[in-house]
Amino acid sequence: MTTQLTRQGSSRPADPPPRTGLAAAGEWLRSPVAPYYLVLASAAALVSIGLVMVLSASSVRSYVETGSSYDVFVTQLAYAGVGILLAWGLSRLPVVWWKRLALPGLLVAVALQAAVFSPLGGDFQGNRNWIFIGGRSLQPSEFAKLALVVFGATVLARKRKVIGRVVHALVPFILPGAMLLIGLVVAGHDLGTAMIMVAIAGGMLFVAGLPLRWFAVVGLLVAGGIGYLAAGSGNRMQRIETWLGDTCTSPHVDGCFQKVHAEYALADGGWWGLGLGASREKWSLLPEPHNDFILAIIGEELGLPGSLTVLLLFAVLGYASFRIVADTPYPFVRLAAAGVMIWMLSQAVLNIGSVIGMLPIVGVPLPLVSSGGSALVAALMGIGLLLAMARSLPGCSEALSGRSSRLRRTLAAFPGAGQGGR
Amino acid sequence: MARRQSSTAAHHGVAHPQRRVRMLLLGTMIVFSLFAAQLVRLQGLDAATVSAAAIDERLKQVIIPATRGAITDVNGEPLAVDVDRVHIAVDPVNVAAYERWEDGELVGSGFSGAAQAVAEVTGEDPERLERVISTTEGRWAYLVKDVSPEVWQQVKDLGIPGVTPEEFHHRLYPLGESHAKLLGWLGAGEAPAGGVELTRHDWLTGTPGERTFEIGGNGEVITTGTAVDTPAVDGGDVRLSIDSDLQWYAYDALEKRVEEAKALSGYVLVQEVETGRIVTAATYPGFDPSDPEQTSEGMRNDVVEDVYEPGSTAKLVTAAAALEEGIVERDTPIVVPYRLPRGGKTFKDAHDPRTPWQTFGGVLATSSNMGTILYGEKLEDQQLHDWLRRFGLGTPSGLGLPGESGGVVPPVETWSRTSRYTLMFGQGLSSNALQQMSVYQTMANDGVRIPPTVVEGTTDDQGRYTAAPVPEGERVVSAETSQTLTEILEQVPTFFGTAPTAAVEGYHVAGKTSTADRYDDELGRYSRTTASFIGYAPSDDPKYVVAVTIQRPTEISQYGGTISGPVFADVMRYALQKAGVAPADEPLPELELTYDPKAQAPGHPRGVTLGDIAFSDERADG
Repeated sequence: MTTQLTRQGSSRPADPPPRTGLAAAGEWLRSPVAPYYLVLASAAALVSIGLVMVLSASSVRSYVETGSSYDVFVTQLAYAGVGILLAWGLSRLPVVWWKRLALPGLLVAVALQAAVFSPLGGDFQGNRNWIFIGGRSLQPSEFAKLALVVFGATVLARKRKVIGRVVHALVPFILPGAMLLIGLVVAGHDLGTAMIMVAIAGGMLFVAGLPLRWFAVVGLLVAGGIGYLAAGSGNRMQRIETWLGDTCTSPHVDGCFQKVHAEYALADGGWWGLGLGASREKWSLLPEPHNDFILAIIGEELGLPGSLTVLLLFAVLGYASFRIVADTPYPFVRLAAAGVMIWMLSQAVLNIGSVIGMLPIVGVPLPLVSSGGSALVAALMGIGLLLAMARSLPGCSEALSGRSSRLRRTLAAFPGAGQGGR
Repeated sequence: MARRQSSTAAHHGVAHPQRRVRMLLLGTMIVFSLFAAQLVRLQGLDAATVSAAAIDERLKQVIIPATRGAITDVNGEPLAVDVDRVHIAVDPVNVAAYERWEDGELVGSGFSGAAQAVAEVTGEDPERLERVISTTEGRWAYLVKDVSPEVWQQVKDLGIPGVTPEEFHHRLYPLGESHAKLLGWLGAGEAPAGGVELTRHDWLTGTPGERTFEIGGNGEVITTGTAVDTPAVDGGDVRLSIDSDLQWYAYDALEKRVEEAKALSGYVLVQEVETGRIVTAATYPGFDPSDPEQTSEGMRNDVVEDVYEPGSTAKLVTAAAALEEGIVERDTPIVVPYRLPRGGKTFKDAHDPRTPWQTFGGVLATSSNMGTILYGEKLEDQQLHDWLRRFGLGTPSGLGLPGESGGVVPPVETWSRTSRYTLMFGQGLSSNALQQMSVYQTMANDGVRIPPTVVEGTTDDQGRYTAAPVPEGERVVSAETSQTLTEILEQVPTFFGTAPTAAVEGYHVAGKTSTADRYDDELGRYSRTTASFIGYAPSDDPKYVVAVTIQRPTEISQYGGTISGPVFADVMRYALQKAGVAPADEPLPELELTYDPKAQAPGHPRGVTLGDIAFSDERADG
């Protein structure tokens, strides 16, 4: 991205006087609109890669199950459309409205998560975290992550002066808010989502400024909790064993099937990939190729450039979030941006780590990329929140609305182009 | 970058959110760096070996069976052909997922649904099929064996998961028993048993191909994967010189005669005189090649594997030798006695001669053992032995059918006192039917022997036909000798001759009967006879030699003329008419086979009679 900006910047006549490309890029990165566009660009790129790769990875299974290779893709495309619309709408939601929606959001999230255990709920692959409404399935825990971020940001922003006192830090964000949601998710046996929510809650407390000594205590508790939950399930223990032990010499070793086939996919892809659409492992070999293991298929078809690009895009998203946190004077914005960042990055780390064998297989989708309607819509809503926060940065909103044409607004992303060109 | 805000946070006495977010970001970047390094390892550094293992898991190799070449008759009529067949195999684990929908309704599923669907197409019993699927332990069993590719296509169209084809070739013998022993047999295994299938196995067998491709988790072919096809090279075809019509006709005639005579077995050979090509080699009883199992005893090709004492048909060798050695001429007078003591044994003929005054021709035509000994004993032992060998007796014919036995012409050193006499009329040596026929082919072909062959030509997998060369002939006797002998043999199968049953109306036929004492291996002694007739026609320009041999007839008669003559006549007539050979338009020239002993001997001083110069048993008196 940097090189591209550099080339664009230097190729146009600039006023004030010409600078070197690197300096121009640096200047643009410091501009108040940079976080907004970085979020927009990285999220758009991830969603685009996701759609293309969902189509490729799901085509075989889709064809077998429905007779059309496009079945999963078309659904995903529809969800992406809904998600983008929601993200666009939410990005224009003023900060004050976000705060107002915090409590109702949490209540709705808790209600939906509780509904999983009602007759509306259902199981999928051993996890009870789905509800079925009007013929569509919905995974409320995905939306609960967003609710948790907004609720946490609202509460912790108000308590920023008393955050050093643990009771204030925990009530009402953790108790009852986060605990209720996480408890319901754990009750549904969705450990992966629960871990993300623990990360969001803990991360937001960390960012809010909770003294580090508490993290030592909580860290031990969390580690103990995870250990307890893992030991309680043979399935989870096996996943951990295959991760730590060097036992997976072939896909036929018990519990190694998915891990080894993910390695196969990445190895097949090699440096430059087999080419778009040419994955072998998606042919009923690697389980969940369009879902939790989509990165393996990306690596297989697009090679190392493909898989590293995904890493880079998440890094850009992380950097943009950090910029929002760093540039904003508003505690809510700071916490909300940090919350979304922790959400996206922790989920990406868990997912990618699972796929490349550096973490046990947890079973969380890759945000914005993996197939799955609820996850995509929720993640796009999270991006909407992030964009809204970016717009609230001092000078950003003015810079964006100060330009009448969308073209100019886009060009504003490139230093010198907006003014100099016209 | 964080510097602008850091002061604000510090006022509240808590940690700076920017700094903590920066810590988080930094931590994430470190993790991402590790991930990137791991990706470089997996996709770059270690990729080759892991990818090789991955491909190993996916690669599947399937043998493409090569089609075995066809065996046809001389007109291209198929005698042995490969047909594509399919065994349908089943994997019960996958079948469980089967669902059958009709008009949006689930009408069958799982084992019973699949069994029902397959049964409808194949006509099998659905209950049996369901039992096969449900009782199979493991993931593989034959569901339906041996169906046509068309039926398999219908089964495939049902879309039942876990039902797979196993293609194979089935050898079909359209003409069944009549050609069975000649062709040999190819059962379920690939190893041929007997006949042309065995001797031409290398040519008929193709090279199987191999298809290598990558398969997905459900066994589907990965369309973007590696795919290497080594096509099968089909085997070549073999065209025999056999005329299947004639062989079928001969087999039919033979079968009737063997059954009528309650004989053990029989064979009919037809050879083309000028080329030595075998046009018919029928053996009764044959075997049914469509039976899935055969015994080696049942597949034995008696026509080349049986050796037996030829009997009178071998007198032709003695006669030819005597003519060639200048011992006799056609009309040499011979006095045939009733009894002839030689080598400590007294020989006699099956029928006492009507008259003792027989010419050399008469002796041969009436098949007199006495007469044959009287002129034959003028031959040295070694001469007799060598002449037998010169006609190919005691040497495999080279026809190229498996298991041919060359028979035995005993060397002179091993002869007993009577050997030289019995050998003259075809006892005490052994040969197969082919060798004996070859003697007559030599006579029919003006004294030039052509080794018998049965392969007309071959067609390779590209469709290029190569004719098999006709072996070079070898002159055994002079044209004059063969002409003389033919004149004599013409007198045998006539309506007035000694074997009227072998006469073929409208044609002049030269031939010879034989009724040989048969050595019965089971009894371990001589018992009953081998009844045969060998002849060629039309005698002025012979087209075919036909040899009919029937072993151990027990009813009607035991004589060659009576038992085998009619079959000979039947087959020869059919062969000549099929070949469009014109019937003779002149009557057979008469040949005097007896003489008046008081008549003046030509070329001798006046008063010397034929009786005076005749070969007679001088030693009988003294």
